[in-house]
Amino acid sequence: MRERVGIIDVTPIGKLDLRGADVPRLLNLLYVNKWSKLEIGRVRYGVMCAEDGVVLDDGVTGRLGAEHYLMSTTSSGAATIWEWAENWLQTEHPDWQVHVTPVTTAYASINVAGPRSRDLIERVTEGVDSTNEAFPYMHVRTGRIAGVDDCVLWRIGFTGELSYELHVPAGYGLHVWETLLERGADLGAAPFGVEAQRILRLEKGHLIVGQDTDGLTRAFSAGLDWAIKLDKDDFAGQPELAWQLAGGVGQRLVGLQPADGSVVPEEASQIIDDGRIAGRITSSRMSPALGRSVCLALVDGRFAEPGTVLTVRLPSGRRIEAMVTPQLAHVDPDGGRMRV
Amino acid sequence: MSERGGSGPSGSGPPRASTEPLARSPIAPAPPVTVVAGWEVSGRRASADPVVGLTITDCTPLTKVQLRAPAAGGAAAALGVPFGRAARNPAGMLVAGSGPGEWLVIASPGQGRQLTAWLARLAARAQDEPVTAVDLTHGRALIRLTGSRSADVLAKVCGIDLSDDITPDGAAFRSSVAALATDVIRDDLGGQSGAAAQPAQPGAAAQPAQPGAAVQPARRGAAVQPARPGAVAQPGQLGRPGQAGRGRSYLLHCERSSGQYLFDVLLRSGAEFGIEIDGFEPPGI
Repeated sequence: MRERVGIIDVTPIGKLDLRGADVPRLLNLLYVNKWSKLEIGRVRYGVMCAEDGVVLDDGVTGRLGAEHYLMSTTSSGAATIWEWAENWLQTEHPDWQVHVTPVTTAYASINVAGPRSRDLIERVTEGVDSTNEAFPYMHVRTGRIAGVDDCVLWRIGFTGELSYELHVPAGYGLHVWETLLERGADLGAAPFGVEAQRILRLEKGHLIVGQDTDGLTRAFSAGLDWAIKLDKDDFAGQPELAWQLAGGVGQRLVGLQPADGSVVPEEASQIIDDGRIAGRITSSRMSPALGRSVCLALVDGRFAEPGTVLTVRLPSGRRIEAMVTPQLAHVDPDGGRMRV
Repeated sequence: MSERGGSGPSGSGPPRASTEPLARSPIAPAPPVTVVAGWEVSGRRASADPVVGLTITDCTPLTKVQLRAPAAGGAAAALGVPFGRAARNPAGMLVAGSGPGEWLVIASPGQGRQLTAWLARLAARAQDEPVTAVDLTHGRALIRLTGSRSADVLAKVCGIDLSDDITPDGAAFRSSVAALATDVIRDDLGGQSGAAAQPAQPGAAAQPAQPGAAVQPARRGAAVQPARPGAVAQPGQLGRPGQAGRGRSYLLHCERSSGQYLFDVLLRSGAEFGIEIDGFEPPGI
């Protein structure tokens, strides 16, 4: 996939159709970042927190029209976020004009990823100019895919590669899937699964809510400082996050690489400081791109500085050294591969 | 940009996909399999009496659009169908009041754009009201259960009173069916003249009615006689041939991903009554 093009079925990703004049107000309330100026045709990554500031969900939301948005959630969070949005609308803001419709099962979703993904997209789409200039990174377009109308294309990059997330009317999912494989055969198009996706996203340092965070991880601890806009009028979790920032962030999510790159610490391995637990490995895999093991870890804030050497206790009791990396991304930290 | 069915721009590129898009229901079609209106469906035909016999049909290819608007606004008035009721408009579309301020509109296959356009015009007439229409054709499964014993089948997996005095023809409700959130519409066949049993006039569904004439409040289903006031059906007697159960039919609407489960549950529940699979035929509504 890093060299050619792969496709993965990501249909379980939660999807909510949002319509109405007050959708930006709802997005500003649910997400920690700002949404008032999202232009039509753009998508933005967002993080949601519960009222205690703990990371609840994440995903991208795209603006399809003046008062029409499509929100994605984590697969496991689809029902929760629908209820979360409805709860805010029905109990706190019944005056807001927003209609939320769950459409997770209405679309079959396919991520087309890899350096040749644009070539494949050009072959199967109509009504969409897929050049980098016309359809840049973090944008959304609608059009016809493999003869199917009313499809949505997001140019986003969970895998860290040039990639397009296709959302097609669900009944046509198999037709589009087979067409992608048929038309991409000479490009090396092949399916890939969740394990490969997990490795790719870990190489890129993209966190997974619920794996790299837990029921106590507030947004600053997840390294989401860049997204949190405490100067917004209000959003779910704002007071707690302001309090977290004032009182010290506590744990921090960091990138981590074992000194011995052949060792892959098991997820949940403890990070030890002077005999005390100072954190844990949240994600770990052998990176095919780097030929070494890579990790994400939640550690005490005092150990989060890049270059810090930590002690990891493996399940066997053996202790190894690992170094905190300058950023979460182990591969392509500047994101150049996604923006070509 | 591509040209379906052709070759690359230079004529030497890779072959273009040659097959027409084929839509698939989440419910596996019982053989023989055929294609109707661009959907893969079962071509099986039940041998039972089409009105009395117990059949189950996957109606997922039908167009399904959700409309939301203020429950007491102008759009609601134009639709003319209150929460808890269902009725057909002159174009043959079934409009169901599926929730407070929420309607489900069902039409023949391939009518999504016409239907949303009609609803958009309706919304435009209801100025200053938040009215939205979302095409859920591909997001939901739709199953029709028909026959004099259909209520007995449904009663095994749904706690709602299905007797005629509580849920007569034209009743619409959302409830747990086999532990699944399901919209249920009682939509009895009008004997041999019922819309579901007799194809509509060609092109009728493609010409939606004017908003002002959205629905006919009168019930369809002439074969169903009103229940005697106060009558309460006894267990196992919800529908009997030749009585109130004649032509009884239910539409069950659920999340697409749960469609196969619900179909299988109903098939198992109906086994003791001799249920048969009957393939989808247009217009189907």
